Amino acid sequence: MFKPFENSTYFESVFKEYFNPLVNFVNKYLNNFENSKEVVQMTFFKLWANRSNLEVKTSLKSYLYQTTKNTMIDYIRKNKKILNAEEIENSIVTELIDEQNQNLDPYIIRNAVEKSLKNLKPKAREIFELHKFEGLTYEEIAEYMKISKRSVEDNMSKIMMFLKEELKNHPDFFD
Amino acid sequence: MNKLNSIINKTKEIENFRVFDVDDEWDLFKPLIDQEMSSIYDLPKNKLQNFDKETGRQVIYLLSFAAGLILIFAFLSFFSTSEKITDSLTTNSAAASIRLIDGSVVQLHPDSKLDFFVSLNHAQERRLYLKGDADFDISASILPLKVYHDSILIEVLGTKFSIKKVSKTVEIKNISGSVKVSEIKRAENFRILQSGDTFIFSNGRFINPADTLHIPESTIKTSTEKPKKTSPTEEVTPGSIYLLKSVIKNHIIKFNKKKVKLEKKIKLDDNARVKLDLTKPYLMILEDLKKQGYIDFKKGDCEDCIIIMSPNKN
Repeated sequence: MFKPFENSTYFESVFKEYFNPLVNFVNKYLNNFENSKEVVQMTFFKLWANRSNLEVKTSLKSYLYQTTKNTMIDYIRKNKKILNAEEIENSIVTELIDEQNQNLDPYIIRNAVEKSLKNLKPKAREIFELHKFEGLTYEEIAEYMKISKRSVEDNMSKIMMFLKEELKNHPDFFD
Repeated sequence: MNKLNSIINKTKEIENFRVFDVDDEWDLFKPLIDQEMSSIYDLPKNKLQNFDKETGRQVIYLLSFAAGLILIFAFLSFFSTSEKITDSLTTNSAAASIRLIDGSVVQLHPDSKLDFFVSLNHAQERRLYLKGDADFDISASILPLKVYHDSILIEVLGTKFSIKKVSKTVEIKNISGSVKVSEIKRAENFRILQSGDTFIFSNGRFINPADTLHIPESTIKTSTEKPKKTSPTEEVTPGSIYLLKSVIKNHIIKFNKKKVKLEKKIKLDDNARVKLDLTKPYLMILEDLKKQGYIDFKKGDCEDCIIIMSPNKN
């Protein structure tokens, strides 16, 4: 069996890799980044505390996802009044428990992309975000940014090439 | 590129994605696990510290207990030796003589008992407890000697005297030196016996047998001669002879401070000796002194207050 966290360096690397995807995943339900960070910290603390008994039978990603989900359910139940989530508690918990098909992938990809985008110039990053995340067309972006449609197309082409190069070695891409 | 597009498109549903600096977040998180780690690694150390504390505590208890035992032992040993500072001598039909550790000699009469000291270590005084009769030849010492006899106390430094009990009275005869005899319950009731003086203590009063012998003689003398008021000592007064100054200061004033005052301009004969019975109430003593011409007195401002004045020469 795989005991991933007996090595503290590896534990640190896992923390840094999955912190942002997990926080954003939790924030989808809690809609509060501070509370979401607290849940993720609790999850990692739990993992660290039980590291000697912890055995990962599936993938580490799935294990983290499941553990975070359970921690969040406990957190919601214990902090009903603080979260003002008493009314929605049942629906969130039910949704989380039933969330069999979803996983962390979108959050991991988004995190990887966001990291790569930081290496772009602000104008190029804005064009990419408006198109890919906000869903604006090239024409709408050109109009909004007061540039030509051609310029938007060129920028997007260069950005996609850049990302492909950046993400080609990422384990969650192109497998 | 299409694959990348499809992958990126998966993230479109994510609203408000935020990227935190993971290095900062790790720095915030790390102390939590460091604390948990140190608490685990410190466990044996804590146990050791607790063990040391407990052991130290036990050692302190043991040392305290041992010190307590030593103190108790020292205390007991001290008193076990000091307990043996007295002994007793009891006589039946025959008299017995004993020389005390200070060199004093006590002749104990028949049917008497004497508790005496056998050690004077740490002693402030020499104490004897007598029941019955005895003759004393007390060696001079810096430690005063006290003889407790029924209700009276005899205090001496170095003298010869005897104590004899007759029925309910006690006769104290001083042979040499001076002896102070006082009632144990009323220390102010005392007599100073000079060489050759004899006093009988009966019913709380000291009686000088010599007075009973002298009175008739004085009475005879006074009956044939005119009384001389200027010579107070010639008057017939039962009691003992005291210094006037001492009587007024140590007896009258001392025990009646609130009631008796001396007049500011009073002039008394310091060397005058008066014959008084000090067992009388102070007002009667004052009357006696007035009659003898040594003092005069008048009523003070308050009720029962007396002011002693110089004698009225007229």
